[in-house]
Amino acid sequence: MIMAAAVLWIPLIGSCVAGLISFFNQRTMDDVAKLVTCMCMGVSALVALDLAYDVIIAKKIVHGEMLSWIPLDDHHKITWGLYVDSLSAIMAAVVTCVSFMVHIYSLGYMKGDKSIARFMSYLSLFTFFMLFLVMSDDLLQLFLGWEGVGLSSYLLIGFWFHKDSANAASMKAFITNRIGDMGMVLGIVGCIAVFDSVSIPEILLKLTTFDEAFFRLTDHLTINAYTFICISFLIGAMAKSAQFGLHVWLPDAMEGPTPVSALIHAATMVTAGVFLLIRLSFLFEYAPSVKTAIVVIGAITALFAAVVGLFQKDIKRVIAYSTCSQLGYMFMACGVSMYSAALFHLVTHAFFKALLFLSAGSVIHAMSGEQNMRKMGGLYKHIPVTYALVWIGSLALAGIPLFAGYYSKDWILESLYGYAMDGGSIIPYIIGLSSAFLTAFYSWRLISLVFHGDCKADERVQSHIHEAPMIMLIPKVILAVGAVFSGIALVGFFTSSQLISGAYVFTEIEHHIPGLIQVLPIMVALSGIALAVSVYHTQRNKLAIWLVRFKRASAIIQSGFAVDEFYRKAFIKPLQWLGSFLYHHIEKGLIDRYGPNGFALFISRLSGALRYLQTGNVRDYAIVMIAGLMGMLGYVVVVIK
Amino acid sequence: MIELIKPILPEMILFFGACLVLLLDVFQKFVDHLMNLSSVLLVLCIVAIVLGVPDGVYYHNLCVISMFTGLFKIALLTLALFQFLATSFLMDKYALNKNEHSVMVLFLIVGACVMVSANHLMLLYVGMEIQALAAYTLVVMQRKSEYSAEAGVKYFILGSLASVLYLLGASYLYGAYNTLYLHEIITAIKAGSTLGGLGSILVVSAFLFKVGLFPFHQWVPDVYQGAPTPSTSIISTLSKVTAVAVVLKLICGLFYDNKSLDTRWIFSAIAILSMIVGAVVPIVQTHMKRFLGYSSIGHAGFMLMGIVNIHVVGVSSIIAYVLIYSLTLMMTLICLMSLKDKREPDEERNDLELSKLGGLSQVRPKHAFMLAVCFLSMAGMPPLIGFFPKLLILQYIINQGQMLLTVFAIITTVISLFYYLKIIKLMYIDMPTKQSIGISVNVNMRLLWVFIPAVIIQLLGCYIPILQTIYVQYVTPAAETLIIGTNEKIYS
Amino acid sequence: MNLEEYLPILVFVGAGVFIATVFVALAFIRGHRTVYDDKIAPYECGFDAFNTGRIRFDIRYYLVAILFVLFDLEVALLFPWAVTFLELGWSAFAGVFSFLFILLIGFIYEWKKGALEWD
Repeated sequence: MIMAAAVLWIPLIGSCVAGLISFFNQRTMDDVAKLVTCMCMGVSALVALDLAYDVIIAKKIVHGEMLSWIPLDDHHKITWGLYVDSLSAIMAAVVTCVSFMVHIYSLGYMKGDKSIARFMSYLSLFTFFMLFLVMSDDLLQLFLGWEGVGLSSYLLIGFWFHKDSANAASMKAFITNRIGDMGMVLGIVGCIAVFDSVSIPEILLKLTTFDEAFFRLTDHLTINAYTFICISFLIGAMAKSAQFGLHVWLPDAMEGPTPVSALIHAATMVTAGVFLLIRLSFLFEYAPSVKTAIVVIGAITALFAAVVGLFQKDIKRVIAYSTCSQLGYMFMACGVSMYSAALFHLVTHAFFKALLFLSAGSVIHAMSGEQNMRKMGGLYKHIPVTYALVWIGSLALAGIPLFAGYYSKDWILESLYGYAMDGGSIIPYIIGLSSAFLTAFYSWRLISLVFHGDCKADERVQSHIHEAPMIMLIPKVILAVGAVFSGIALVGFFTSSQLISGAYVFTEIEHHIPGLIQVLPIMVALSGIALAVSVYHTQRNKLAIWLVRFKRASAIIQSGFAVDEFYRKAFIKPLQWLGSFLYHHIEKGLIDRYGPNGFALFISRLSGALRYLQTGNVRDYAIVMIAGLMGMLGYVVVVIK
Repeated sequence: MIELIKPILPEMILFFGACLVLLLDVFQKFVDHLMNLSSVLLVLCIVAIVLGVPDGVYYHNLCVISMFTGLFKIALLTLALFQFLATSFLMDKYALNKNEHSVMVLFLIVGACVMVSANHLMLLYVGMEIQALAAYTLVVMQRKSEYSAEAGVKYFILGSLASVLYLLGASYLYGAYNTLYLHEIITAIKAGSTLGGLGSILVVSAFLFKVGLFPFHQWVPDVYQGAPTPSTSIISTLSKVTAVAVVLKLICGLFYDNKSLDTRWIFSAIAILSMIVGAVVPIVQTHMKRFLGYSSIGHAGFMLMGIVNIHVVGVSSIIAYVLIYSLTLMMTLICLMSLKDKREPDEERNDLELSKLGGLSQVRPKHAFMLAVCFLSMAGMPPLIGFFPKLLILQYIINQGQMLLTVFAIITTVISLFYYLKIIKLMYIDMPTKQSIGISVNVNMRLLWVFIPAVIIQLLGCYIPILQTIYVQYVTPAAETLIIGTNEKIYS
Repeated sequence: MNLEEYLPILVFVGAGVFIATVFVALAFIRGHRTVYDDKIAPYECGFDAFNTGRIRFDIRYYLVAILFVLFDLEVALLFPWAVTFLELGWSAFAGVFSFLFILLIGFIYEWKKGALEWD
């Protein structure tokens, strides 16, 4: 319990120290801020690893109360609690480790930024909220962490607040997530209505005694309570994990500093949705229709994001869409009840995607802030270490054997195949395979454009190209180790299927997988690599020329199938019109004019009128006195008995 | 001999002390220490009250000593003491004789104590006149100021009118019941007679005038504005506390359990109209003291609500209200006094224009904070102390089912919040100008000795148990003596 | 009818008339006489008797008048007490002396303040 609490609170201490330094604008103290935040993160990461080891090996659950929060009565009280099972422990370990790496990387990346203390403070604050989220024992507390990471994300995307685009992106992220939050709130309210509790262990306990519950919408229309709750939570998870429909904020979130993209928008926060699905898996098992929906959403997202990723020019947006696509994989896995596979992919993805983002950061750093891949090229000579690390990350992402991504992605694909064999549709599996192909393709497109060919940047930029400093390389190397070995090291542990420990364990059915199916993903990935290399390394490739003809189509795809444009026309414009109408005609024209303002005007007029009674003449005062007295006396004469 | 004068020992101390101060001033002896001597007299007087005679009636039923009288007398003395301590080093800024000023305050308190204790209508009248004459004198104390004189004359003429009403009412009561003893009248009035009813209303309205309630309110802003600020402070607090005490005494005596005359409508109307005047008119005022005068009308109306249905809870709420409000108002005025420049009396009139408070928080942050605390307290903002009496009275009238009153009380309170906040906005958001008050003042650090306790008192609201203790142990018993004790207990 | 008891009064009246006549006669015979308008006016107070009341005059007239009224009233109050002095006893004595004490304080005050001096 103390260890868990230490993991949770130490980052907050670092955040507060750095925050104070930033608040009082003590530039000379910046080094203290950097040191304290990194040390706190380091300690937290070490303790988290130890905790994870304890929890997983000893198969125990740490569960304790910290503080009372909302004591309603003896049976209904909401507390600040810690709940660490192996799921939480793994999440905590991943979060703290990646966060530690990103902290150190940031020291180099943000060097010279005048508000680095604020940056470090936000990073630590984010880590704290993320840990708060994963370690909470009740939904309300989880929701607080959920909002907290949203807030930190908002602050970090808009970190360079002097950029209009950064401000717009941060607001977009925040507002899009409001839709998900609405789902979260509905889900929590639903849980309170059905289970009379928000505590996750308690809900689990009560779930076993409940058969079915219904919410009565109207007299004739009822809805299964579990379905309702699960849909609500699904909406929350979709917004946070940028699933299709609510994904629009994630590519824009790349406006933030690159370490932020690595930590929040690749490795940790966006996986909170997946975490929620896993955490509440026992509920989702009672809502099979919602599970199907999860598979559908995950499949759409995986394919859609991979396609859009193909057409991006901005290096970070490619990786962002890739993240989106991988999250789709995790959703699919959850939808077919392979929660262990989802979590496994989450862990490996955290490593290689963080690595890719940090490497992208190094590239951008080397190119003096240029993010357009079309203006890069031939960088492998100048920044060989980064080049090697991008290769490692891409191999892991593409799912090449021995690299981390292979084990987890392969497992997910096998599960999808198993899902099809069990009577489900084969389409998710096909989509999974095609996405894997596309993933490999856009990864090597990135490598080719950035590192090979001729450099298209101007002279000034070219002369500045340099390898990142040591402090940025070391974290990447460590992450690369994770990207290579985390799969092979952990695959045995995850497949032993005791992962989601505690009270709920689902039998994850073993399937006989034909040999062809086992090698198919590898083949697909390799062919994607081959195609990409052939397209982008041969001059005047036929495919490239052919593609150029579809300028309009590619523009649409590049803009993410114009989802943003659709939203603008379908929702934002009408809402703006409605808001403006309500504001000008109802709020100001009707309510304000005849309500508060009207009353205020009346009072001030009355005030102006009443002051004329105060003539300043004693005789008038006396008349008022006597008149009032006469009234009183007359009343007495009339009523007295 | 000492036993004979013991019940009126406090008044004796004050009276002879005041004479002594007067003579010393005239003979130019210890001129600089006479305010301190007056303060010592006040302390002695408090001691005499605390160690005084047991509750009961003295001098052939002329004089009552009870929890109620004790509480009010101590409150009066404490308020005066507070003012003396706070302003003894500020008084030189005013063109008046500060020793005569304190003598007049002492006489005023003598009259007030007589009023509070009196059980005979003539004695009550004597006390009222002593108090009123001292008050008139205080208003005109600044002899070279024509505004001061104007205010004094207005106060004097209207006050005489009130005295006339009182005497007329007393004569009616005598005609109806053949006695001037209050307790005998109280017993007799239950039978009901037109003459007695008219008399009782007349007698009460004289004191409604002193409190400054609706039809009798118009002198309040004029006098508050015209009088020199130290006198305003005394009149608006000491006179008002006394008048409220007497109003409570009379109303509880004359109208409690009085089946023949239902006065609820009268007092409801007075309360509502006073609150409206006190809420609406201050909005357009531009002078600080005038503004405070109008707002005090509203506060008086708010208090009066507690006695529309006569009950111990309501009476004790009123007592709490008037004491806390007086203290807050006095703090406000002391604060304004300390901001004053030394100038010719007639120029002073414009010193307290509201516009001159603009940006006070930058010029005099401590004063601005103090004023803001006081105004918020008057507006009834928790956790400041002013919130609690308002709460008590609202709670009481809601429990009594007086919904009309409640609605008006809440509406007017909200409006009054507006103008209090307007002043705070002036002080904290607006920019200071060259005409801003307090720029050239040399603020004496001794003021902190007043400011800090004042703010602590205001913040007592944060620690409710202590307020509750005071309320339960002192205020409620005082109210009980007034209602339950009028006939049965004391005159047994 | 026994009118003898009224004899002292008659003596008093006679003496009074006699003395008054003597004084008036002496003044009439021996007096130094100059006649002018102010002197022969009905009220010898410095004001024009037949004029509007709204004129300025010295506030000290009022002061003297008020002081006169005060001390005049004091005497008026003392008369009944003096007559019944023996019946009323010590408490009345104390009361009257408190009253006199207050007046004395007031008298000292006005004297020292210079209210009794015309200039």
